[in-house]
Amino acid sequence: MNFSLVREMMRKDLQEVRKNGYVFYSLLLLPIMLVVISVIDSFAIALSSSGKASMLLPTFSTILVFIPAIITSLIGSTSVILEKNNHSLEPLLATPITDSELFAGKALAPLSIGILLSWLAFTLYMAIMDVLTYGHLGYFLFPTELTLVQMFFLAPVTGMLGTFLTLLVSSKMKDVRAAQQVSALVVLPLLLLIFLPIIASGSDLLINLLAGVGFLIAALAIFFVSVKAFRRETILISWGK
Amino acid sequence: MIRVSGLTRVYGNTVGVEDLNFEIRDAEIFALLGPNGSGKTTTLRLMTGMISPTNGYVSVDDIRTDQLQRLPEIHRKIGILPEVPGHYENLSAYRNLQFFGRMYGMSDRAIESRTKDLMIEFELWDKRESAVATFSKGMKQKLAILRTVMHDPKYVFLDEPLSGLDPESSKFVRDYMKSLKENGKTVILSTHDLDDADKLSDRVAVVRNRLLAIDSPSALKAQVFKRTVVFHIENIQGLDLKEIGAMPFVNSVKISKDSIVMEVESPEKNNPDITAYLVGKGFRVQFIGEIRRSLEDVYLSIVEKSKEGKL
Repeated sequence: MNFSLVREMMRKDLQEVRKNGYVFYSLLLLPIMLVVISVIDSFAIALSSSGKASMLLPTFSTILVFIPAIITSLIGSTSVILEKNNHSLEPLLATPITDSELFAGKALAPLSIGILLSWLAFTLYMAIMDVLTYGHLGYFLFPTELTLVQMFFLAPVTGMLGTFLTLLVSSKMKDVRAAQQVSALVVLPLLLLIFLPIIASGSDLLINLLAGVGFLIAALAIFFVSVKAFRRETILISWGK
Repeated sequence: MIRVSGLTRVYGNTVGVEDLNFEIRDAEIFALLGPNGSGKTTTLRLMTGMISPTNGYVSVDDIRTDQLQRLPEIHRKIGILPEVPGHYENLSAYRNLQFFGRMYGMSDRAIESRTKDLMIEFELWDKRESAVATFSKGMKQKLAILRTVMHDPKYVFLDEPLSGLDPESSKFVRDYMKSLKENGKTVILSTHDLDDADKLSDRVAVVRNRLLAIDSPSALKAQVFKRTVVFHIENIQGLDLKEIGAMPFVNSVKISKDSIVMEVESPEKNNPDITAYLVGKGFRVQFIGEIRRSLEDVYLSIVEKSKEGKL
């Protein structure tokens, strides 16, 4: 695999997102919204449960793990089909890029945005919570082992799972709307369903780690299936018809 | 050289193209002509390895397009201009070219130098930092042609390159195509503009899901239509058409207004005999001309015969 082609593909997609102000700012809204909700809920718990707060608070950061999966299902589902609709796919497929390089490049752009935004959200959440709870607890509650595992392992792995699943699903769709709808109505709920045991487990580090390893294996398996399904001929002839 | 052998592509129950056989020589302008839905785009996609054939093969410089591991090698040799330009509209013209340059493995220094030279030649240099969305249709088409030749490909595939261009830009693109050929490049042109195909092409192929005809425009004209000459006579009354029709080199003869219209073999050799006959009979020959058939006449005749099942 030629990684310079993959990187260039990703860079171009990121620039396109950045140049589209509406998409760019709406993507920023999601982590901010989730941080605000997490902080309000956490602070409410902290105020009402006094001494148990330090045990309960990390649970609320779990929701932030979802950010990469949500972001990638929003923008990843359309990244290839939009190329076809804009008629830029044909000249792109005429370049020496291979199917797997194209797939990886297309996956990396939404994935990197999702991971960066989740890191931004985690950082904001921890900083705000530390400021708000330091006076009460007398020590900085964050970062904890759990939030670090969630931030640097679980969130990226969930994003990978979401991206590959979204691209696999969208490779079977005929148009942008169908790709977005299936991503929103099938991929996201599916991920939520997988996540329920983790949310229920709260702050159990081991369950989070095991879940992360499980997601990583699933993500890699879906990656190989997706690369097989991601054939230029199918995209050129069938997609967007 | 591009070799197309027994090329067939079937989509479900529909035949895209069937049993195409031809070669495209180096440094020629080759036009692919055919009605809508005749398989021109399918042929272009098959030739560039974007889709695979159901039967047969295409080889580009002896590398077959169904050797998937060698496809990137083929793609470095070819440049493709699709029917719709297809740019990244939010990005600048320069960034569009830089992206494709990098995808073709060019170094940043080579991209910079090549982009500057081409953009100056195409009169787009002053607009290099503008978003493509702000470009006119003609400018977008020029940028797309520029993107096609960015990596200096040996084979340039152009699908309707003159579509939507004003006369000045059309002339510029036509001249550019000629200059590509002069520089040893092979241009494969798919077009509906038969006048341009006539003027530009060394050879044309007429397809209607299969190959109907292939040759140079002049040879096709000669194959499809006999050469027709017109003799303008001052007073045509009393002319015996049967006598003229009996001449061995005259294939057909008719009178149209004050003229005799004849299909004649080798007019350069036989026109003097016809003239001598007419003068001998006391007619005053005012003017002799030849009816020039256009490629459009040839094309329409071939396609019509194909529809009637005569080809």
